[in-house]
Amino acid sequence: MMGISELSGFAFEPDPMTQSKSDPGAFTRLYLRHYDAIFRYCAHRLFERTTAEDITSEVFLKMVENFQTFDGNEKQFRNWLYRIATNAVNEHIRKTTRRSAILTWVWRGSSNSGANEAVAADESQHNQAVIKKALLELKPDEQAIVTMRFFENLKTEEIAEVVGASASTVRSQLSRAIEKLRKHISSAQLGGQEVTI
Amino acid sequence: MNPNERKFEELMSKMTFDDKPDYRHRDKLEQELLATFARRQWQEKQSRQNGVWRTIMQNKMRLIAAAAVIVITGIVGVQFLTGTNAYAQVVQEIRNARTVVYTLITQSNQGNGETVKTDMAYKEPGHLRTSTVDGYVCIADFTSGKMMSIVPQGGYSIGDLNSLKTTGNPGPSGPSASIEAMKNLPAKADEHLDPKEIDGIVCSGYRVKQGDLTTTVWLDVKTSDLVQVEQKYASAPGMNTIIKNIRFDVELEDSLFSLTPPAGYKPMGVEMKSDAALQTEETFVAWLGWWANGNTDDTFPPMVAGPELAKVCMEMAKQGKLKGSTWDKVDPSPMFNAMLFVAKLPREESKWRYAGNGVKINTPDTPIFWYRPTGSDKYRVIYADLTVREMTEDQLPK
Repeated sequence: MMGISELSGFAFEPDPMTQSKSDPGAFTRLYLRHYDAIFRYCAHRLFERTTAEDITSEVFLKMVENFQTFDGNEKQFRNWLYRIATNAVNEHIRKTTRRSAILTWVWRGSSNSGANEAVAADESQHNQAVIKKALLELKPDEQAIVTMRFFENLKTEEIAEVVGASASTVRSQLSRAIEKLRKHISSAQLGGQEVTI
Repeated sequence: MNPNERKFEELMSKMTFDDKPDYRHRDKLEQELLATFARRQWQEKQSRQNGVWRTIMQNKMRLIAAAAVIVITGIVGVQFLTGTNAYAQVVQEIRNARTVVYTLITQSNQGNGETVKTDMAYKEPGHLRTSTVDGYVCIADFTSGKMMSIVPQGGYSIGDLNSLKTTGNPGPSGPSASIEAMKNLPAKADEHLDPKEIDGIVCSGYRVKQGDLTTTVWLDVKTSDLVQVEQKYASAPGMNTIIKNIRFDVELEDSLFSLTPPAGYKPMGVEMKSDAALQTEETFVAWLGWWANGNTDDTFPPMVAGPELAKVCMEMAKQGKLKGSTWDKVDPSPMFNAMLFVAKLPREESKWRYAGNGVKINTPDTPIFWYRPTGSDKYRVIYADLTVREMTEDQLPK
């Protein structure tokens, strides 16, 4: 079926991103393609589903408010979403009270093992709590980079685009963050044994 | 990744998260986003169009220019009805087609001889959509007799189509030759031309002369598909028409021909009042004089029909060439009727020509327009001093 886009101009065929700005169907498809990744990123940063969902909503609502001014391809759109999400999460956890609440939640989660569960499971949960706590001890910007690198599998260059820094800066920050994590985790002694990373 | 990072990655890979998306949240958010999306779209459109529209409304010159645009887009539709333009010719030949889309390229001998491209789409039983590359759209519904002009600045105008019909109009619908008949045309052609390449396709040409009109049909040598139709008028050298990108029976959405104004568009506040009694030589002469007296160059319009005039009008308004005393208060109807006078002149019979581009009003002994009224063997010639004289064909300016 020939539509206005093909007749109103001369062989004018909008690209998918342009189409998403005017076509609710295309916009919905775009949203669905990115929802999972953004939710997971928020969950990996915040360790808690409800808050992650709240931040995910905030991210997409912020996106739609500014979508008409966005000018880029879909990869840049994804990076833009990560940037919005990073800012939203950072903003959320910068408040000390919230960070404390997350930490409390993380530790409570680690001690939720029932008496009948295997010791290994207990240890695993404990170890995870240690790592999560260590991640939360990082500065929000550092935690963002670590999360994007190791959980979302973004390349250094992609992270650089998200955070608006050069790739070399990101590499340095990542290196520093890992060193901090190593110290935190080592001192906590995962599973009763010192961890060397 | 350095060994440190790799070790760390291994450690991270063992982490588990409650990170499986809950699609109830996703779907709920989707609804919220769509509502916001719709609101933002509306706001953006309003803001954009209000801005442009405010600019237009604040400047009376531009308002008039916008009115001229409406007139011109209307003319495009009128030209379709006269049966002398390329579209009507094609429809006559290929009447069986339920829908036709094509690009109409007209080269005028008026003004600077600029080439105008118009996208055309026709759908039975009488819906026509024309659109220029600049975004001027005209939608005509011959079944209801209504037409709508849309200007890219966010305005629209609804007009009455029935008052524009001319006699002898072949009309857009009804039985006619099919695309096959068009492909069979070479058998009836007067002349078989040497092959030439058009848009990378080797074509055979077939020339047919029908009175004043010479039509050349170019068919793909390999497939016999119609590639291009060219039309030339002996009485109007330089006024050529080329029809390209012709496709028949393409599925066309009804929305393309909807007379409902686009969301957010505003009525232009200018009515296209067509009055057949006013579509006279006298109105036309008065309009020529009004135009020449209303611009700082004191010259006649570069052309008297066609969408290019709208652009000229806009450009002159921007350059401040339109005299405020003339253009501040103007009734667009005389302009519309004057243009209709020309648009309705049967091209073959009237053999009208316009030669007023760049001519100053009152330039002595300078003809600017001539035509032969229906049924007359003499021509009416309008001069730059706005006098009209009658003369025979051999007395016409060369």
